[in-house]
Amino acid sequence: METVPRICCLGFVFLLSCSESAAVDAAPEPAPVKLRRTFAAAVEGGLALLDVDDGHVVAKAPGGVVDDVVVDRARGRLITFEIEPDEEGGAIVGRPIDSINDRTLLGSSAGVLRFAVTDHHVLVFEDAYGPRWRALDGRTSVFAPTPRSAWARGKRLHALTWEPDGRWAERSVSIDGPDLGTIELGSAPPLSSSSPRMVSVDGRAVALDVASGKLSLDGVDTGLAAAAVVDACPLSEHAFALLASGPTRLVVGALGGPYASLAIEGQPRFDPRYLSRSIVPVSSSRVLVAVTDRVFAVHVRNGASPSLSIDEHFAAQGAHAPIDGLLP
Amino acid sequence: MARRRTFALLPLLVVLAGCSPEDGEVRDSAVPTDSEAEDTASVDTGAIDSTVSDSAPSDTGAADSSGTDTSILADTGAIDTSVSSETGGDGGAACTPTPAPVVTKVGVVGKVLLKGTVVTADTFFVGEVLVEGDTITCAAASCSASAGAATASVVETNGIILPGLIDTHNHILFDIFDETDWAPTKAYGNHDQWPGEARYGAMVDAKQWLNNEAGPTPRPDIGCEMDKFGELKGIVAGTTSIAGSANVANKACYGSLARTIDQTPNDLGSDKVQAATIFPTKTSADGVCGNFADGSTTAYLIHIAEGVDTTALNEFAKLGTITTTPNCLYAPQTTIVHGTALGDAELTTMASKGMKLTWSPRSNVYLYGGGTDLTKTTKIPLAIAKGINVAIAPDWSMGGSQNMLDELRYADKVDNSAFGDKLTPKMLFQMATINAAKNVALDAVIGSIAVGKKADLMVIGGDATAPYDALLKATPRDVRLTMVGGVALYGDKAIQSIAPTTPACETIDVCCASKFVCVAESGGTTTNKFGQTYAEIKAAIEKGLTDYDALALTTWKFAPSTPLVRCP
Repeated sequence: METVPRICCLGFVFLLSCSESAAVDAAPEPAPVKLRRTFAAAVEGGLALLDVDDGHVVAKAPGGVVDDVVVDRARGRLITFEIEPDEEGGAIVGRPIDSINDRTLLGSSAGVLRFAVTDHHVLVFEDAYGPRWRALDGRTSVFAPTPRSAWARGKRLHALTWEPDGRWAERSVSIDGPDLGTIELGSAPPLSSSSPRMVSVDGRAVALDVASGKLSLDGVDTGLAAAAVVDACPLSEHAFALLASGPTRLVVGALGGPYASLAIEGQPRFDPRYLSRSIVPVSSSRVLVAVTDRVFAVHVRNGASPSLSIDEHFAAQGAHAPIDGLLP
Repeated sequence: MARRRTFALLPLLVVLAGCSPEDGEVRDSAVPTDSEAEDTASVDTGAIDSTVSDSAPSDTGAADSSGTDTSILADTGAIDTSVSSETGGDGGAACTPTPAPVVTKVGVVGKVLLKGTVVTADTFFVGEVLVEGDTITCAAASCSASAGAATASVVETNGIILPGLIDTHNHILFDIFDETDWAPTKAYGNHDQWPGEARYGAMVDAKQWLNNEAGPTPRPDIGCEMDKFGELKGIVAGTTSIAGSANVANKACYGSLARTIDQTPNDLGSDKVQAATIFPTKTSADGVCGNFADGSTTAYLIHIAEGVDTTALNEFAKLGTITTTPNCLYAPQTTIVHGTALGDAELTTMASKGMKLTWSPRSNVYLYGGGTDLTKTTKIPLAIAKGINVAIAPDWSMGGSQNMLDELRYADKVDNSAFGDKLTPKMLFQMATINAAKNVALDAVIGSIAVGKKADLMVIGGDATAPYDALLKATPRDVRLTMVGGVALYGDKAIQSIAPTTPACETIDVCCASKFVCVAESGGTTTNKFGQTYAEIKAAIEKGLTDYDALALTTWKFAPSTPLVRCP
C-alpha cells in the first residue's frame, strides 16, 4: 500500500455477486495497514486534521471552503482548492503535511478544479474557460474533458471522460515531466448513466454504473437502488469500496465475490461532472466516509458473513467531504 | 471605489486636437471573420508616455519628444508634450475636430452642472443634470432652483447627456487580447467545442500566467492591471459599470475606475450580484437558491444555452433540475447570459418566471455563425415579444466587441439584417442602460438619469435631435465625458477642469482627439494599486505579454496587447 495514489486509488480485480451474506474477500486478509492522518474540509471552512480512531479534529487550519484536497506524498504537502461560497473559482493552496497552518498560494482558477496524485506529480483538472489538464507545477495545459474518474498506472494517468461528441471514453497521458504529453483517446465500456465511475483493477478499468435505477458493477446488476456513483476506491488487494447516492450507501465487495452494503446518513457531496473525494480506506477493515455534514467510520467485517457497521465512537462532526488521507 | 482624489479646477483649456497617428506594430494576423472595417483594423502603437499633462502644460513649444501625437492647448499656445497615442493607426484618417464642450463656470469641488440634451430612461429633452457628490440631484429643463446649482461648475456639453452604459457580460481579464490572438477556425455548435482549439488554449495559458493562476514561476501577477485595462476600455466608451467575472474575487484593486458590479468593491455598499461562467455544481446552485431566499443574492448572471445545438439548448432544462428544489433558479433574479439556443418554449418559461436575458450578438456570430451568419444569435425579438427584459453586452474582445458602443452598433446591424429591423435605437439604448441595470437588480441606483441615482454618466457629441441614433454612431472619440460616481474619469481635454487633479490625470490621443483619463488615485498601496497610472498599467501588461512570449511555451505570440481603442 506504499504508493497508492488517492485518485481513488489503485485497485484490484473484483467482480461481484449479489449476496450480502458471503465473504467480502475470500483471500487471506493482509495485516491491517493503518492510515496515519486524514484531512477533510472543516465545517467552518478551512482544513481539519482528523484522528482516524475517534474522529476528533486534532488540528484546524483556516482558509476558504475546501472544495478538493489531496496529499502530495512526493513533496510532503497538502494541496487544496479553496473557494468562496458565493463566488466562482478559488485558490490553489499548498500546506506542509506537518504544518498545515503554513499556507502558500500556488495558483487560482476561475472555475472548478479537481486534483489527482501520482507518485511524482499532482495533476490539475480545471473546468473554467474550457476543460483543461495540467501538472500543478507544469508550464502549459492541454485541452481535455474533465475526468469523472482517474487512476494511475506507472507514469500514465488514465481517466474516464464524457466527450464533446457525446460518448464516454478513457483518456490517458504520460507524466514524465512537468508538462503533459499528448492525451490519448481510447474507448470506454458501455455506460448507461450520466454519473458512472471507473476503477483500475488488475490492469483494467472496471465500470461502476447505474442502470435502470440499480447499481451496476462491471456490468453486473446488484439490485441495489442507486441514483449515481459518487466515489470508489480500492480497499485491499482484492476488495473495493464505493459510495452511491439515492440512497446514500457504502458498498464494499471483491471482484468475483459477494458484497456488503450499508446505508449512510446524510447526502454525499459530489457533482457527477467532476471527481469526488468521499472515501478513505484506513485499512482493509476500516473505511472513512465523508458526506456533506460529517465523516463516518465504518467497520468492515470480513469472513463468512461479511458486514459493515458504523463505528459509533467515531464522531467527526467537525469535518465533511472532501477527504483524503496519508498512508504510512 | 471610494475616490481618493483632489479636485483643483484648472483654467479652461480648449483642445484643437492636432493629429498625427503613429503607425504601430501590426500583430500576427488572424483572419477576421467580420467584414466590418472596424474588425479589420487592429493596430496598436504600443507607445506609452508615462508623463501627465494636466498640472502644468509646457510652454516650450517643443515637439513631443516621444514621437507620439501632439495636442495644442489653445489658451496658452503651449504644445502638450505628454500625450500617449491610442489611435488605431489607421494611417492618417481625417481628423476633423468635433465641437467641443466648454466649462463656462468654475464652481466648488464636487458639484457639476451639465447642460445639453438629457436622455432619461424614456425620453429626452434640452436641459440640465446637476451632480452633487456621487449623486444626481436634479435632472430637468432647468436646475436653477436647486440650491447646489449656484455653486456648481457648469459644463455646456454641446452634446448629449446619457446614463453611463452598463456591461453585464464581460470576461474582463481577457480584454487584453483580441482576434489577432485567437480566432475560431470554424463555426461551432456549442461552447464546449471551441475551447479545444490549441491556439485558444495557449491564450488561456498566457492569461493564467499573467494573472498568477498557473504556469511557470515567477509569474507577474498583474490581474489588477488586466482588470483595470478592461475597465478603461469600457470607460472610454462611456461604460460605468462592468460585470467582469474577474478572479481572484474581490481584490481591493477592483475598487477603482468603473464599478466592478459583480464584486464587493463596487462602491455601492454591498455586492448582491453573483456571476457564473460555467454550469453550476449542485452545491453551488443550491447555495444560489438559498441566497435568493434570504436576499443576499438579488441578481444571478449565468451563462446558459450558449451555442446553437441541442447540447446548448439542454442546459436550460438542466438549470431547472440541478437544484435540490426543482426550478428554484427559474426566478426573477436569474439572468440568462447568451441564451442563444433557446426557443419559444424556453423563452416562454423565462417570461413566466420573470427571468432576464443578456445578449452578446457579436460573440455569438463569431463563434457559432462563422463571423458572417448573423442569424446565429439569440432570438431577441421573440424574447422581447414575450416581455423578457433584455440587456446587451460585449462578452470579451476576441470576436466580441471592444466595448459597449461597438456592441450596440453590431446589434443594430444584426437587427437590420437578421431580425427585420425590429429593434429601435431607443430600445438598444435601453438595453445598454436601464435594462442592464434591471439585470443586476440595481435599477433603483444606476441605469438612468434620475434624481437620487448615482452620477454615472456619459456625454457624447452628435445629433442631439436624434440622441439614440447618435449613440449608435458614437465611438470613444465622440465620448466627451465619462463620469463614475460623480468623478470625471475620461473626456475631452476641454473640460478636464472638472476632473481630479491629484493625482494628476493623463492625456491620451483617441483617434486623433485629445482626451484626459484619470486612473491614479491617492491612497495607493502595493496591494490595492490605486496609485497606478494608465501608462504604468499598460507598461505592466506589455511587459507581461512580452515576458510570456519570451518563455517560448508556444509557437504563438501574444504581445502587444490589444489597443485601448480602435479607430474606424
